Amino acid sequence: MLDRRTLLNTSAAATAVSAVSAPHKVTSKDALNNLQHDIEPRGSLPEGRVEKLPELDMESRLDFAQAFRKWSLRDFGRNNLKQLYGILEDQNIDPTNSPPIEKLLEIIGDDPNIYTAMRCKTTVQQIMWKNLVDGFHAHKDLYLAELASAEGQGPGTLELNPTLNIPEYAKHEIHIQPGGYIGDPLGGYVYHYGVNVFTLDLNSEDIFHRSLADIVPVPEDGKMNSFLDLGTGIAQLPLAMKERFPNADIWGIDTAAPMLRYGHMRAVELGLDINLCQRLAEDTQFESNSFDVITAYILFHEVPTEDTRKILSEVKRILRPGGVFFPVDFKTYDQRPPSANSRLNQWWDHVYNNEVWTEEYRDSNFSELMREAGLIVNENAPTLSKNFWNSLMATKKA
Amino acid sequence: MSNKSKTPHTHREDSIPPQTPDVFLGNPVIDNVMSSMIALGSEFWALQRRMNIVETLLEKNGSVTNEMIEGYQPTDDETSAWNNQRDRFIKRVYGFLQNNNSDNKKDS
Repeated sequence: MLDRRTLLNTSAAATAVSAVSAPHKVTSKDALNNLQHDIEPRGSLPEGRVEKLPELDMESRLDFAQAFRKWSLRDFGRNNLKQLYGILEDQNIDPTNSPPIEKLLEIIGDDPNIYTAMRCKTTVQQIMWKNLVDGFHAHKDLYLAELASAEGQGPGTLELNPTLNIPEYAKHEIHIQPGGYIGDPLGGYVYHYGVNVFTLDLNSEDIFHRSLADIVPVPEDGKMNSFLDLGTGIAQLPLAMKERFPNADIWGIDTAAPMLRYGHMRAVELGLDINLCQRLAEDTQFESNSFDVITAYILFHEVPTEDTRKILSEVKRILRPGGVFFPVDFKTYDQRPPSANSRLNQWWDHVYNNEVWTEEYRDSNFSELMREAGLIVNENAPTLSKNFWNSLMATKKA
Repeated sequence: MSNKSKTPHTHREDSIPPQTPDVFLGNPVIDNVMSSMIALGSEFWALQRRMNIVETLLEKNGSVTNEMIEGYQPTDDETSAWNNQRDRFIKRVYGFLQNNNSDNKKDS
């Protein structure tokens, strides 16, 4: 699972990536001071980038959820790893190279320890989401007013499209978040704090996204004036990219209005000029050859392969010759055959954490899909963890 | 680069909830009991943390208000101590789940 030390251990290739302009880092002094209708009943976290939750008990329940998840993955997880590997070794199966999931489940049978661990992981997700949904909705009018207030302000712009035809794949309640990304007007708030529990504190104060922005590769000619993030969600990567490239034109698109509204509100609070649009990654409406760099952070494992092909074709169209496409996502099975433990965790993620297309994504050959779209693939891209992320980037022929 | 609209509406549609019932332990009632037990731990920790804050405030100020409790920012030392307290609580209460009940027991 996610390991903060590993993820933040930037590779040599990553550190070699240079910024084209002096970075502007938001400090607590200039953060969170710009919004006219700011709901901040308990102040902000130490760096000033993220507001504290509105109630102490809500914060404490989240604190418990994160610690319980950590315990269930590490202490309890170690026991279950030993259990799983012992069962497989008894049948002369190498646990570092998993059999197909159907065979693996058959071997495990109804082992109570392994399924108790799954119960723990699932329940803590449910408790975490309920706490956040109930807590934010208890102050719903205030938070909706905060979002509405931000819409009339800059820096940055927000373009919403109430008539957008939302694809089926974007409607699912990914990570079992109630309402998903499109069905809860406060989904952006809920997501921001909830994913921080799932990633064991990597989402707090945009820590992960700032590290990721630091390694986003730039085109060989050094020109980086326009940037687009596909499936941007609450726009943490565009915000971090604006800090790295303060003079660049920064864009993010997503199908989910609740996420974009929250992202825009944070942009206003942080004083960062980014442009967010409710558009489809398959049909971005941007002119051809528009962007120097395009990213997609953990988008493609949420998308069916058929739609991935359409998105990659659109990337090829709007990326300028010599431009860089940097799709950060999990390793696919062709890149790293899974251990039995990984395979079981990924199956849980797929079935019980409602990662609807993650297995289809992991079974795909993403490099080949990019080549089919006409992109030139590099399989040694900068990465925050060679063991975890796909290390892929692509360019468009200059 | 594109037309920017100032449309203030939020597009909303119903989401699609998970289709798989989450029964892991062979009987949904047992699953529910276990979930309740974990939820109780969450509520207990919320109370414990609140009590820690009240005790700290009383020691520092001799009195407390709800506003002081809700707004209290623990020091780094307090945060570290309370994190340890929380982790010990989780191990003490939920460590029982690490007892191996499998027919294929692979004890450490």
